[in-house]
Amino acid sequence: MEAVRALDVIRAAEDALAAGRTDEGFLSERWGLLPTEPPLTALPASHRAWDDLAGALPGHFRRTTARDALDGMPILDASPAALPDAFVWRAASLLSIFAHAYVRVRPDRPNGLPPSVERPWTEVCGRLHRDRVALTYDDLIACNWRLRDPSRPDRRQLDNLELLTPTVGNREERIFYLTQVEILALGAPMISAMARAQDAAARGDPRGLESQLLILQDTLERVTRSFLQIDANPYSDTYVDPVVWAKTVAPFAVQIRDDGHAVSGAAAPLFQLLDIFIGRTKYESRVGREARSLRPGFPPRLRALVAALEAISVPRFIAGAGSTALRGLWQSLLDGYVGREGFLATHRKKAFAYLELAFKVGRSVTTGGFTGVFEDQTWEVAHHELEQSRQERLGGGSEAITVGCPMARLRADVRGELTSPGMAHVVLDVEGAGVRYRPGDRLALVPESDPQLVERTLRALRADRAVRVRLDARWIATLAAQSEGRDARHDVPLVELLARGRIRPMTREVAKVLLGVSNIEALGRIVNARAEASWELWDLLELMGEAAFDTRVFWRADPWEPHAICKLVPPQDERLFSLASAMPAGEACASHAELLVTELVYETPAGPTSRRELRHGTASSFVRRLVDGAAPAAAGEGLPVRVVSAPRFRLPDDPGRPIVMIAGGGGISPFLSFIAARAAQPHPAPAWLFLSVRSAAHVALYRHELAAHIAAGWLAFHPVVTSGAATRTGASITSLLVEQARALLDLVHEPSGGGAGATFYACGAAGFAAAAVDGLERALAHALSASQAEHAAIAGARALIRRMIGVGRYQQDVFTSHRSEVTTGVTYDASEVALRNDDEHGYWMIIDGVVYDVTEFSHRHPGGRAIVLEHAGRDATRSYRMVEHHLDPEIEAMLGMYRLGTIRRLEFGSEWCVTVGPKGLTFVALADAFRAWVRMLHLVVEVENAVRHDFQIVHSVTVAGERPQDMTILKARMLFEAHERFIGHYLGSLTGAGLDELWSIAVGFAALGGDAHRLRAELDAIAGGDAARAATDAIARAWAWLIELGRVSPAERAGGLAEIRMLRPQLERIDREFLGALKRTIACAVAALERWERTTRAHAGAALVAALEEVVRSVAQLHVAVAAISTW
Amino acid sequence: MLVRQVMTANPIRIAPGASLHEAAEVFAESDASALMVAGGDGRLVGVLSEGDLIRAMLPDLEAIRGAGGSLLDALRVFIEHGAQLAERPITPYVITQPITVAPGDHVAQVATILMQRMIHRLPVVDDGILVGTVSRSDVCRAVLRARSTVQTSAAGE
Repeated sequence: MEAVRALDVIRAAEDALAAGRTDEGFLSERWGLLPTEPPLTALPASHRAWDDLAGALPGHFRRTTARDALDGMPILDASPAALPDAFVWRAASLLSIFAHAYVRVRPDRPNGLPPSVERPWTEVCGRLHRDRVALTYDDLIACNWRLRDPSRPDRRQLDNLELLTPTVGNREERIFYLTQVEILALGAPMISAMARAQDAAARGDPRGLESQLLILQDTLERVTRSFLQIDANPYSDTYVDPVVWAKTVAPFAVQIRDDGHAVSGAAAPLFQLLDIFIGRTKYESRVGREARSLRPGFPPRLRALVAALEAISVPRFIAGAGSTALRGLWQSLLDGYVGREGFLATHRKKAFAYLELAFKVGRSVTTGGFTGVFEDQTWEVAHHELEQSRQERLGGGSEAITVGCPMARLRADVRGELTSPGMAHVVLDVEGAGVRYRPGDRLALVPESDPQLVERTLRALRADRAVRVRLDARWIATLAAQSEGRDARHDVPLVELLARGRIRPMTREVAKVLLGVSNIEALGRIVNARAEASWELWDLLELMGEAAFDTRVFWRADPWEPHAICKLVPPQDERLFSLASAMPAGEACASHAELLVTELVYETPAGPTSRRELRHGTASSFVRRLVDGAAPAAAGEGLPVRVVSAPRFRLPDDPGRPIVMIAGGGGISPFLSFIAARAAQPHPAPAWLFLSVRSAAHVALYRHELAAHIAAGWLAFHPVVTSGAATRTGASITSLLVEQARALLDLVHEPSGGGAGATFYACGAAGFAAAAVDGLERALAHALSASQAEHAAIAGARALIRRMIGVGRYQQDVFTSHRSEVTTGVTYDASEVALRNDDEHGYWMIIDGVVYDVTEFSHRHPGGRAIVLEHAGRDATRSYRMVEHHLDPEIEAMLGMYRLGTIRRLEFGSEWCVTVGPKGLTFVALADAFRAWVRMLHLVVEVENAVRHDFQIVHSVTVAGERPQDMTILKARMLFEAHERFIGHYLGSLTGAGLDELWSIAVGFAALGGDAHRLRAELDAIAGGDAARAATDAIARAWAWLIELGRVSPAERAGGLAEIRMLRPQLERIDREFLGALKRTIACAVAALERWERTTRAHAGAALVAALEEVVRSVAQLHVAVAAISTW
Repeated sequence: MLVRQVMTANPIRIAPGASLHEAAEVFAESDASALMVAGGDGRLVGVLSEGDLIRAMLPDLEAIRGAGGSLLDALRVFIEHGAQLAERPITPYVITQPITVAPGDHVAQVATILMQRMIHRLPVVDDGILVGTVSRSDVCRAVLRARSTVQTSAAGE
């Protein structure tokens, strides 16, 4: 049988819709899976009761009375005789929302649904051919919107949309659902593009396929940017508060029946279609299974489209077509969808931030079906599942899914004209490689090591050029990947390994291995001082050789040994370079790509843990060799390249908006592409370029390059030459900006406020980027101080910057410099950092052993302030790695802007104690004992942060129409839940097995004769004592009171709620004072361990015991304080 | 009962620069599973364990694949690697910060470490100087004998 074409499925669906038949679902070229007409806003008069109740839902959520209202709703007939076909979609949407409202309005589960909902709901689901009675994506999203301005029916964008049937009606619900409507509208061209691409593949038309792949890629980028509107940054126009979202929006769509499906990300039909299109065949992860199991429940038209797309494989055609351009385009489509910076990765990172906070404020189940509580770290499980499902699309699970990197060659005919001392300008030929980029994008390439450095390393290894070494699995896989599978070698010449591997700067991991096998004192000093990054492999090896260590062991070792050379020298990572060129308008694929790179040269000083040596950056010296024609790779087979999209570093959508560019050194590179793109406009809007460089020659070079634009009057060029200390402190860029303060303030203000609404950009090394944002703040404060008092001007400037970042009008492209890698010598202890998690002490955090001050950064974090504060005072490495921030060189670089120093490395030697643990006598190494104490300290901090967020809900708008400070029954419920969660749950975590472990350690070190179970006995006595009972009784009375308040007269209710408002600060204070005291106590004990290190046993054991005795007293006081609250 | 009462004084030592071949000889002669690596000044440098050496000889999957991929290839690779290793220095295989006990520690503490860390023999160090070793059999012999002595004396009363 001939397969049905996807295009024919779309045509048939359009015909049915034109004839008024909607029961099989919506599908059209213009609107994709959205209804072609805006959804109906009312039912016939016979069903007005449903419309009325829908309108009253927010009030019922506020008073938690939705069940009473739905119980009292009349049972209406939803059969075709009573309700015409045209109204079925609206009826389905309302009834599905009613059903979920009935269940979700209160935490206790009802006994089934009332017949007023159950009967008609079953009827309409049948009329829409659903496989079960359930809330669908159509009900909640695709058919749940109206236009703000109906005279603009084509504008289905967030700013012209409102929810048709809101439940709580708050900002979070609006933005969260309506952004998804916008994505459906924006993504509509993807559906016809997939259908046409398939057609082109079927008739063997590579050119036709190319143009459809371009549409898919562009649309996907727009969809990704639209998705970013769900923004956790409070300064954004489309802020979705993670705490409010978690408590009011997220739980609503969780399935209410065992056989039901939640409306979750897996249900989003656009991505289901894209999965099929890219050839995903593996659906074994939980998210994958969920996605697949939803398909039979799709509306019939969508099911038909799924079947048609499954019938013909586009990737199979591309794999056989032998067109490098097609392969390049396919690869960039995949990158945009499943790549590390693609849509799915963006979605996963955002989901992680929202879910982590959500679970900490008490959400126990996600729409994806992940259940769990605080200690289970459910957000991590959900996150892994999402990652697994992304991986399923990447390799193995899909046919012909990776077709290899595009290859670039050096342009022989054109030389980079901006090449100058310290600056390398290279022009790469990517003709026919299917490469596309936008201004702001980056090019990733894998550099080769400097041949001189390779020679030195070879000498330090005491090896000659003939030596071959065997490879480990990672190297073998890398060689295969970089050659599209042609290179299957298991051994290579050592010289090649060193050329293609990372031999500088020294990483901590490798330094520790070297220390482990040699135990050389000088090496130990370097590792202890965290000074390894000041070294390269060759000179550390020389150091070892000087200490009579035979360095040949490394290349003689077998590849599976930890000290084997193939492990010490891992494959080189790819490096990102901002593209300095812009693609000519109207061209589908680029013919060339330009890079402008500052050469990184620095000297490490002579000292106890470093030696005097001139160092060259790996990547920049590689680019310099490219320019000089000294890198053979780029000539022959070519150089594998990858375009890395930068959705957060983009020219404004409106070409009429001015831009302000602030560049440090090579940071001018992306701005050359911005300027080129703007110059192609008929009348370019004003652009400002502030540039800080080290030499006047560079200024002359750029002035010459940009002369035409400067002369045309639209580009203002403000260069400054810096040297020495001024470069490091950013003094020059600051004064340059302050000189233009007045003009900059006008550029910052929105047009509605009389300004120009410019977008600002900063690009440079981490230190420069920090100086640029501070300099701009100073300039704005300076301008504001003309009309305001000094402190008001400073605060005003700071607020302007935060706001600009929040709305995406201050964008940064930051790269690493050697300085951020080399130690500053300042160290901190965990016990100090733990105290930095509130407004009074600022906000610090630890990532990979480095301490950062994130106080101001928390206002600038694209992922929002809440998630940063949530990790303050503790070690955030795990979460940081979870969202793959450590793989993102730009984020790593940006972090450098906030670096304070490192965590001091402590020396516990191999000291130990033997304790009485749960399994009898237990050996505990002192280093492990320290970790256990720090773990407890971080747990206390984590709970402290979570509790602060948990209580914050009472200062938020939970239901439309209330003020943040209003107390409502819903908020009172959340308040009691927060407190109950604290007493019932967090307190249990804090005083559970972890505390027993600490006690056994303390006794083991300090008091061999101490009772191993005394602490537990005392805690048990407190938990079973009168005060704890009184506290529990008080909470039970509070719940009864709240239920009573729902039933009394409005006046009485108002009085009761006023009392609860007074209660809130008392509750919050008691809980938080307890946590504060607990943290200080544990921090003191940790500080004792940090002070005495390996001599803890002799000096600090008693302090540990005393700390835990203090914890017991705090717990006892907590119960007394709770029971004593008079209002109960 | 304290370590100094049960330990083996004058433990078998090996010099830090010795070859794996030499180490193998000492292992065979002494029937010990771990050798104490000590410098000429008597300070403990580290411990060399038989297990770590055998682990170094065992090829991983990539090596087996590289040698042909069959079980027979794997067995052959094991033998070949052993021969290659023989002349290499013991240095990279020495555990440089081993757990040590002091002469004044209690035998029960030693027993806990031995079992929990799956160690057979611990170095006894006094102020950095290697003064002995204490092994599983040292502990068994000493403790079980002590118990029978107590019983005998109790019966004799």
